[in-house]
Amino acid sequence: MSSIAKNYETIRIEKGTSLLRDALYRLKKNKLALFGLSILAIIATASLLTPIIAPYSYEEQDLIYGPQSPNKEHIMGTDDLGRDLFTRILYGGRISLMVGVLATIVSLIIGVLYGSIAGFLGGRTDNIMMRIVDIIYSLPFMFFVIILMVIAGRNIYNLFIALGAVQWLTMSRIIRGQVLSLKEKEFVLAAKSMGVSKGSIILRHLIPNAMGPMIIYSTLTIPTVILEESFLSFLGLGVQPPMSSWGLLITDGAQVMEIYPWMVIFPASILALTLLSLNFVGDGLRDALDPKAKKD
Amino acid sequence: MNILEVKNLKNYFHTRDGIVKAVDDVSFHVAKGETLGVVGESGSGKSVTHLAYLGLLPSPPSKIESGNVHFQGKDLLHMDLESLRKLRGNKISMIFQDPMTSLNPFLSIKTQLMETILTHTNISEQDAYKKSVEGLIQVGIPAADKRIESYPHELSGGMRQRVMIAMALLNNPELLIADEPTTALDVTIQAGVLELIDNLKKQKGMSVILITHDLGVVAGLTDRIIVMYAGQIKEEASTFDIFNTPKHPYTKALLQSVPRLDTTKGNRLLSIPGLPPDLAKPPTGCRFHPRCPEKIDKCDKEEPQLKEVGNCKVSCHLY
Amino acid sequence: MIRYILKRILSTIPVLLIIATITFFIIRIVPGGPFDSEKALPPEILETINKKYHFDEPLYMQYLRYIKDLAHLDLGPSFKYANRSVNEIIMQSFPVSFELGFWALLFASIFGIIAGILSSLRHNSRVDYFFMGLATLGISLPSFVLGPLLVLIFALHFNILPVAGWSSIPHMIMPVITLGAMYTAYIARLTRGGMLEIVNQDFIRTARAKGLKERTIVLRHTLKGGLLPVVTFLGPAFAGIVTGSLVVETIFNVPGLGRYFIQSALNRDYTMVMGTVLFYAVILIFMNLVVDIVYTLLDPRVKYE
Repeated sequence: MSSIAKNYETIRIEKGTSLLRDALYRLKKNKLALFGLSILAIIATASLLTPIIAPYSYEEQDLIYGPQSPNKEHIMGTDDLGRDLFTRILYGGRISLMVGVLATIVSLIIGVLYGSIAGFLGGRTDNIMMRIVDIIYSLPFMFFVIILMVIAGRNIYNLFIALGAVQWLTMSRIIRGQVLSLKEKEFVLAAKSMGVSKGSIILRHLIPNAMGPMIIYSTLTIPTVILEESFLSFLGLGVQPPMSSWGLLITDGAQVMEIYPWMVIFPASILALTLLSLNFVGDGLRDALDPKAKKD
Repeated sequence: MNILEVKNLKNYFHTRDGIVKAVDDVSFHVAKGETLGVVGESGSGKSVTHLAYLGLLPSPPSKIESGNVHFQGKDLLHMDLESLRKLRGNKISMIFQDPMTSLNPFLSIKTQLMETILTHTNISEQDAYKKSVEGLIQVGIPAADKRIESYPHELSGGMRQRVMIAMALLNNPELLIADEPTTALDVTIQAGVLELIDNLKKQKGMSVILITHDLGVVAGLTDRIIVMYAGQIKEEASTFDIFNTPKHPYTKALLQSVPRLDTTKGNRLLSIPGLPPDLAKPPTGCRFHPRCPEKIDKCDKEEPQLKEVGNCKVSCHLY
Repeated sequence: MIRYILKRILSTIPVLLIIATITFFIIRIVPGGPFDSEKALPPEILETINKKYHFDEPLYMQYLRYIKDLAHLDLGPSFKYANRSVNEIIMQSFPVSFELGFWALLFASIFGIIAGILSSLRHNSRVDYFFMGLATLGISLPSFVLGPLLVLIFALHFNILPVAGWSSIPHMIMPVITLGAMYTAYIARLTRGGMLEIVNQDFIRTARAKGLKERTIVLRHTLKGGLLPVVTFLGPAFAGIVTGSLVVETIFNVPGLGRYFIQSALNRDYTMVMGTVLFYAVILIFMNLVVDIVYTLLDPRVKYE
């Protein structure tokens, strides 16, 4: 009976460590999550310090030589206009990460508002609101992003609003669940009987209670958004030149990959590495904060 | 003649935090036609012992370290897995504690009954179906030919446990191991289920091992009782002796925690203070000594051996 | 059950109406249309066009006209492809997308489930780590990276598969793998997780105690429950496959509906864009209904009224 062995483990865990220390312990033991975290730290620092560490300026062209394969001066080579690829990847990373983070924040705001309203009002309203979420879930929402991008103009602000606007569904479900369970908590009922407004009590307790799931889900939303931005850029609907993102670099590279394969290999690897790291960290956080949750 | 003979069985769990000695040097036997009670708190190894020699523990982390187990003269620990599988559900059957989770919710009762027969005997599906319906009738399920089509969640807890019993008896086992068969059930239907097991046992002449944490359950049904604590046998005696002249302090404590109708008002129901020990780091000497009311000097130093005292066997320094 | 299905089908009508309304007004509110080309058209021609497509009428009239046509399952004429109706274009291009999506999902299900089962049976072994490593990589490797990568290796370097097109089975291999890879990875992870969840249940111990063969335990007792998470995932997976086909059809020059959609979005071909969205919404809502029904077949505890 494996549950016997499990019981012994839980008994041991409950003995000493607090929940948070235990979570940190589990996270530290998760080598993949630590690996992801370090990669992300490097990439984030590089993006923040891009203007300082970039070896060339963004527009600088080396037209005499044209596209060069990786060499001493250009560690990742240059593109077809003779621009340093490493520099362009750094600048592109800024855009990709910014879109990822900002769109996630947009989705967080919408999701929290929608979810807490549904959960707080409850009953019929809640039913209808959640049914809407169910329906949108099953729709090809990238189509709507594409429509939004086409009609609202392809600039970066519309991009992260459009992406954020379709990513809030899961977040709203999480928040609604938290609000619903808080509503039933004894201290909320007690506060109500003492004349304190139920809403303010719930708001005060919602944030600390929902923090864990919010963090976990946000870390998992960022890679999704980065992926979708690249997806749109690939279709010519995302970030527009002269601005650049990883998705755009990959698109440009893919068109000439027969002759200049490094132009697609470097940005693609960096993108894949970032997504991989974010997924590792997200999974690691989930396992650490919620050990009982299903692993997959 | 003994149908089951267990000698010096050791089964440990190799976990991250160390070795958990869940079954530590356990010996007992079951005679043909006998009902043996195995009593202990949760974590005493009373279930794990039986799961171990039947090969029902996940390995790793579980591992049989040493010992000998013979069923009808056949060595269970050294036979190949295929032969052991053919014994399970056929000559040796088990009933588990929670009928809620022990039946597969995704499969109909019919499927789960019929596969038990078809795995072990070479008969047609129609015959297997007939035998399954008969099995349900035998355990007192009304409208068995309709109920057999249902899924577990459509039955009540008591009905489900009856299905479990029917399933265990389909192949007329020689030995039935009932692991807390009534713990998850309502008090009102516990007696019925126990009576059913007892009647079927007499009818079929099989041997039964009845595992429970509740001495009250085994009182009327068993011929002999072994009391387990922290992976070891503390006392073994006839049911009569256990109840009338308990020897081990742990047995006495267990008896005092059983509610009895003849308890006079002043006689308070006692519970055993403390918790069962962590079996990764068992106490030195006698494993019961930290909770023992009759502890003497050598209890925490020397491990007692199971020795014969009169008609009983007991593992305690007091004897 | 039949009542439930009918109810679900009827409930899609208001949903589709809402989708149609929202898309219609989002698209029309913003200035600019399919006929704002680089050089201005002569006013007479513009007038004819406006008349032909009823742009001269007020917006709400156009909306009502559109909804009326929609009720007759008529998605209207394409604005960009002269003389072709949206219905025609969809009927012609969707079978290609369907073929692509079908094979991709079949590929993903077969390989994902097999990999997931093997991983769960050899939990924490090298096989498990290998498949799950591959799956994590698959999830992090977007189609627009994987596609060009495959082209680079198999078409350009080894020269064993055609670069693009959709005319023979070899043409289909790379698009199907590119589209299916991410879903293979998800399905593998979900299968493994679901199987591991079931394997630790009490009823699997009962199955062992009954002396069932290991094969029966896996195939009959574990798989049915273990695949439930995969079935739940299929709804979003259909949506993802549809979306993914936009990119894959672009990469491999597959003449499917996805490519038409991108073209018409860029050209502001209103009716085509709306038609595609509504068409795919119907398909996906239908597929989700199928998924829910399959779910009840797998899990007898779930009943819909």
